[in-house]
Amino acid sequence: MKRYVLPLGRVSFLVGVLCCVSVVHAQPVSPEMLAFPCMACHGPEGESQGEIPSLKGRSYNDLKNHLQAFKSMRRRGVIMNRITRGYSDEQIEALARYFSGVK
Amino acid sequence: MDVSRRQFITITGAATLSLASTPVFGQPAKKGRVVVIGGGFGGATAARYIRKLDPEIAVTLVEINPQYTTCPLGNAVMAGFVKLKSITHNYDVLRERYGVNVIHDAVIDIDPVSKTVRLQGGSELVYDRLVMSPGIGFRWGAIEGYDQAASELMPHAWKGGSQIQLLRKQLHAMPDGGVAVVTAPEIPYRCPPGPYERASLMAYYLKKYKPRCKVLVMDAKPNFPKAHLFKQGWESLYPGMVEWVSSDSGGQVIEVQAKEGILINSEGDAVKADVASVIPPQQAAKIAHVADLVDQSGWCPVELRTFESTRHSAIHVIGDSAIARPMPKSGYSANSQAKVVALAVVAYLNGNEPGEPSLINTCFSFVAPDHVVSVSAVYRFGEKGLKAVRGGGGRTFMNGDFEAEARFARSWYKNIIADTFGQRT
Ligand SMILES: Cc1cc2nc3c(=O)[nH]c(=O)nc-3n(C[C@H](O)[C@H](O)[C@H](O)COP(=O)(O)OP(=O)(O)OC[C@H]3O[C@@H](n4cnc5c(N)ncnc54)[C@H](O)[C@@H]3O)c2cc1C
Repeated sequence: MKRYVLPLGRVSFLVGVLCCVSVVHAQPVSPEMLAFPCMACHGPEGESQGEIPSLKGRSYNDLKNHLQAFKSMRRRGVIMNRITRGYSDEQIEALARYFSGVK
Repeated sequence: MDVSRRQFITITGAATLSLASTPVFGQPAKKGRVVVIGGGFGGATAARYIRKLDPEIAVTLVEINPQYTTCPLGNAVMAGFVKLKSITHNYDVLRERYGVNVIHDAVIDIDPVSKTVRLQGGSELVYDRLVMSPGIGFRWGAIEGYDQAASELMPHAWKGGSQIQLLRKQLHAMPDGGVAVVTAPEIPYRCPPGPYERASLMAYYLKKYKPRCKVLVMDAKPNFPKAHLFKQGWESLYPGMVEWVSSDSGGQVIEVQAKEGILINSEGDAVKADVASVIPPQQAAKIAHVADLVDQSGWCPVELRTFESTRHSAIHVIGDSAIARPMPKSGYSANSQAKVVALAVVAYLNGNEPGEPSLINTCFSFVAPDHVVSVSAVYRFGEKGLKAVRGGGGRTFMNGDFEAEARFARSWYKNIIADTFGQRT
């Protein structure tokens, strides 16, 4: 028996399509519901440890401008270009309002 | 669906009676009682957020183990660049700062009619809403010869705890020139990119100390998540060391002979491994089966707006146990789902309707300590159920900044631990 079997032919990548539908017209989502999932990366109430930027303590305009810049690709981020495109302009404003209001 | 006033009074009334015999339950429960089963990414997050959102709801968290060792960064512990201690967490902050009543015991039964949870230690807890995040169980025997005893020789290291150290010891003891095998199951399973992260970090360790070794990934699938990014990393960092065998090419392992270190594929070919990490097919944790919360797939069907079980009302199932397609089974998903459920449970117990959910998942995978690749998505509920938002999410670009992602992955770990257990690391 062969020591191990390795018929490694040409590898075809299934460049997976993240299957999606547009949910732009869905019901409005509460500011808390929008903000909570961000905290897994940005820390509780947006207070981060380590290299991921904190959201806590930043102004509404600062947050909104950053998020919009990521969304429109004017600014290159590590993860955020991908994430911000999941939010409408109103949702980005709601997020900026939520995190600028955290004490 | 609303909790009617009358039903509400009956529930709390019943709860008060039964609690007389359960003195550990000390919180005032003005608005209701929530029991959470499982203190992992899903359960601990749910407990913390419910208490944060509404301190008038009493929350009891039942978790078997006094400490929780995470699977995330487990492969880094295996490879030796992260200490086991730094991925081990406890429930002190949940207990002390958030007033969660943490009980270390095993849930052995749930009665969805009387809404009671029975613990191995003998006590019973009554709930108005139950949140379950008990994680996974293994389908022992699905790979012939792979049972619990075999897993002590060919560790899965897929549940946290001591198995990752066993795998680390085996890699240390491996002869130079040997073969390490990682097997990967079919979807669905916990952490879809995890087996490939494991293979990468085995190669990282072996290249340093035993450069003539090989790592073989035997896959029950014809493809795998972030494949192009992993393969690019393997070629540039560990040339010739890592080989992935697709199910089309004999990658599917159907039998093991653990004592001999032999794995047999669907074509009957035998592979001799010096170290083998067998990641077997999975299903929802045992308690979900005992409580009649699973369907024929072995996982728990839920209504994805609130993660309430479609089989029994007032029970929310989140995390790996739940069928939450298209979300992958990850710690990030479990943490996000917990927040949906926390908001829904608090709404119900205040007599309100829950709002619309919004969730995120991001999975970081280490190809090397300073080389990480990721995939993320944002999820909303629409006419066709839970879906990734079009245009949002996606993978690391092929020319992405892998070093920056590595720094982010470590920062993510600290932050999700703080967000889950309330504890800074
Ligand atoms: C190698 C590896 C790497 C990973 N890396 C990542 C990563 O980088 N990012 C990511 O997001 N995810 C990652 N994951 C996945 C992640 O670990 C899981 O998806 C996550 O743990 C699921 O959370 P959960 O709450 O569903 O279950 P768990 O975290 O497993 O928690 C379940 C808890 O319930 C308890 N329990 C079970 N039954 C009972 C009972 N009857 N009574 C009382 N308590 C009970 C268990 O003891 C356990 O503590 C990784 C997984 C692996 C294996």
